[in-house]
Amino acid sequence: MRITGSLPKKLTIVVCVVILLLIPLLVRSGYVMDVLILCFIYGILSVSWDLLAGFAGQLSLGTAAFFAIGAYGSAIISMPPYNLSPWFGMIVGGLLAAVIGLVLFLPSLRLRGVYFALASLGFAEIVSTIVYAANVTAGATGIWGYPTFNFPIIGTPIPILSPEPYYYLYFTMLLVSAFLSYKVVKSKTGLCFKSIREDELLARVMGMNTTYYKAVAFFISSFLAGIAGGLFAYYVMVVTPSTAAATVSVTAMVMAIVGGKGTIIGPIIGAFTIQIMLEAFLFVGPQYNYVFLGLLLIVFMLFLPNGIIGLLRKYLSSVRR
Amino acid sequence: MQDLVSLFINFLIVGINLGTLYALFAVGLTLLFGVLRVVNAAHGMLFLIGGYLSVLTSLVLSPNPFIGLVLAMTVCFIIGILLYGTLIRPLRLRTGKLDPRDRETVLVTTFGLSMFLENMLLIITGGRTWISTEFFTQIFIIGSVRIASQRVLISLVAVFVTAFLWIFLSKTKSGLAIRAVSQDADTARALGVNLGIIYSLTFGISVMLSGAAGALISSVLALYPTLGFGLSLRGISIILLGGLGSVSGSVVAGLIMGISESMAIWLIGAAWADIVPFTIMLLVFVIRPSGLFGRWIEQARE
Repeated sequence: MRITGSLPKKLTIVVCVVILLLIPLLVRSGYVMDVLILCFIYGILSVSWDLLAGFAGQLSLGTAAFFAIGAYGSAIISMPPYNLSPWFGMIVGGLLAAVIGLVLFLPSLRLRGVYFALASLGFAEIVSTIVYAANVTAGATGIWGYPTFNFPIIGTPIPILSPEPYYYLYFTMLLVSAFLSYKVVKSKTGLCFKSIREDELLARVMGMNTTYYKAVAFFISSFLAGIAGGLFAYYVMVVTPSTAAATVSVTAMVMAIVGGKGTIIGPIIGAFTIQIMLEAFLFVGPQYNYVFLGLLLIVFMLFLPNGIIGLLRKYLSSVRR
Repeated sequence: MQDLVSLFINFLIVGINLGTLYALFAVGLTLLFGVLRVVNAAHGMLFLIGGYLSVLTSLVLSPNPFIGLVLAMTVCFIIGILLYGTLIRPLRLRTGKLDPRDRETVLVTTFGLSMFLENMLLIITGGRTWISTEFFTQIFIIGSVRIASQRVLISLVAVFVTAFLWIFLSKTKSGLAIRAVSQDADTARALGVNLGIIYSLTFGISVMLSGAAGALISSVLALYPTLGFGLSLRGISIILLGGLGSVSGSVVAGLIMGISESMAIWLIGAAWADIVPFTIMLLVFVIRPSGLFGRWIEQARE
């Protein structure tokens, strides 16, 4: 299995991974690890968005719906009467998100462009309303009191107090998700995604079943989003309707766009950048963080559609000459 | 039994009241789509800005709601033109931005704009709700039905403004130019219509109508920034129901939406009633994407 890409790029990735692995040992700060764990979770979420939007070209504004289904599903399934272990719980959360999404959303998969985006938005809002109003999700107060991961030797430490095991687990999950996405993208399915993105009509004319591949992209994307939701639930230890808020969708989208959509590393870079920026705002002026996010979205969509990765590519290619 | 009937009538009247405002609100959105082929996700926030301006005017200048209305409409018109210049014009490289990709881009950028405006308004208003005092406090009582005269006035003005727009679109030269561009931009251009001017004019009118609706509702609805997004979504739902680009369609759909929402609040409670607009949206997509009066026969589905 070859990982394509130049040597400097591979080296940079390895260096970053090593640094992230060493951080808990070098920086004994629970706060830093907390921020990075959120970066991991959002990294998975933004990669999921990018798979659908950046690679398959289907703009989705409803990521939050699957994040929420994953979060609520994982939380509920770990509580009595199901009492499923979180290790399986997060998979269940992911599958729930993917299956519910596919079933409810199947008719909309034939929609194109803006219409698909709007339908996904409508779907997300429906989920948000249900989550606020329904009894099983305990309304605005949310669900809490469910168990979290039981690690082999350490047991079940409280996430906020000793984040180290969660840090490594979630980092691993991010790497696994990224790797999975990479394999999908490099496969024939990924190629189909890209041709749908570039010219769907042409792909159909060539005989490709675009609806099927859109459904696959949708399934994988919502599955990953659900996993991210489950991980979120097991770390934060409380699931509220805010997980279904449009803010989550927009944040994931901004991360992918700012980092560079259409790539695997792009959304991850974007996730780290944006999350750290949002944290920084908490010190400077907490009300301004989403103001800035909105501005970032506008600026990047208009002037820097290829994000940071795009900028890097332009810079590097001009340096080579 | 008598109670039920009067309850029904009360909710119906509120629904019609809401419906006329939704109609005004949606006409702006559908006009924008018809001409520019883009969806403005910030339409609801601009509605709120109209409302806030009206409240501000009533506090600072004069409690007369008409002054607030005129001011809100003027400012919103200018905002519309500015938005065209900053968000749409950079995308216009060749003849126009009828490129489907650009439509998604505008949806996302206006999404960002909506988020930006919502949080800016949160900061500016400091988390308090704004509402202007009722100018006309008389309440008509017919049998056991109570109708606030303020609400009647609001609906009358909304209908009046909508009618005014209708006349503008069908009788004036600029209005006809706008309709021409919405039908066939290239031909209109070939016949000498300046697309840039029409586009910015349309955007201005669109935001102006939204602001007008907001200014009108500011005396009966407590304004809070988080309402904006939900309003944008309702607007999108309404224009889909009415048929994208169809002004008469969005008027009818606006009334339907207003009445449905009011009935839903009465029958299933406010928390679940939120589902109505989005369910309508999805139903329209599945059953009849061209909407009720859809003269816009675009291939929304394959």
